[in-house]
Amino acid sequence: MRLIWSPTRDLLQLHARLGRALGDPLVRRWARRTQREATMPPLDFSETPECFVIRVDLPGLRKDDVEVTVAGGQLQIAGEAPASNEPDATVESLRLERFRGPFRRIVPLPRQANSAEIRATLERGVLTLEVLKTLSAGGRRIEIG
Amino acid sequence: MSQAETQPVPVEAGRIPAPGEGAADWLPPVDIGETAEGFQVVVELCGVAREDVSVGFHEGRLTVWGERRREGAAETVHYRERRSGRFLRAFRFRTPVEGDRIAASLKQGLLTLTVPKRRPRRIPLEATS
Repeated sequence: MRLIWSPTRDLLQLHARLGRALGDPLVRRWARRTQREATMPPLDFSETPECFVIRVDLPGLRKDDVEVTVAGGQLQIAGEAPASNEPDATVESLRLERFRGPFRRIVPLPRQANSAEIRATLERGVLTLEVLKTLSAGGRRIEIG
Repeated sequence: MSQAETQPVPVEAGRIPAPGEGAADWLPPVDIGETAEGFQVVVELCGVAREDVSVGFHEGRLTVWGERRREGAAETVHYRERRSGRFLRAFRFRTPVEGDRIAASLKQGLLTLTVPKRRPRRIPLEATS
């Protein structure tokens, strides 16, 4: 039940559904993974004059549940989203809308990003990454001697 | 404020969204589990401050609503997938519940509502001798 139309999500859901319809477990697995990696968890990317800012919704995750790595100009955010209820014979699930399971998002960093200067915080289920810009980002005037 | 802190959220009896509060920009995802004792409703509310969430119970209907504010107003946005603005979800339960004993708490971006089922009242039998 979604009120807001998202073309990307609809397309990815259709894609996953097609994979299921084909009945091929490999196609199915690939489709499911593609869907997850493309859309989950949701991520924002913005910048200030000093840094790039990445925010990711990670509800219920503690800092030990998330791994942030940087390599080759790419930032990777990986972890596993826990289920609301442990699988248990005494709990009957009436609704399961929340995303759970392993996830991975990869963010290519702009060239001005200084990957040695990244600050990460996790508060109220939001992971915030601040990547400082290199000093020359604004351009530098070269004096002619 | 520590990120691991559990913040209790008041559940207001008889409270429903005011006209104008009822329209939602987005619907937070929800999990609902049922046990013999009651229902557990888990609502994803990442980045939502405790004072921006309202929970009301009125005529068997549990409603959660509020607003998620956007961070970094001065930033230049390159892409945006996270939802913001006003949200609302409402629930009815398939068995009677104890509306005045619903507990709500917010922790790590999750609002957890514990809704006890109403127990059938037992009528003590009087022995007539």
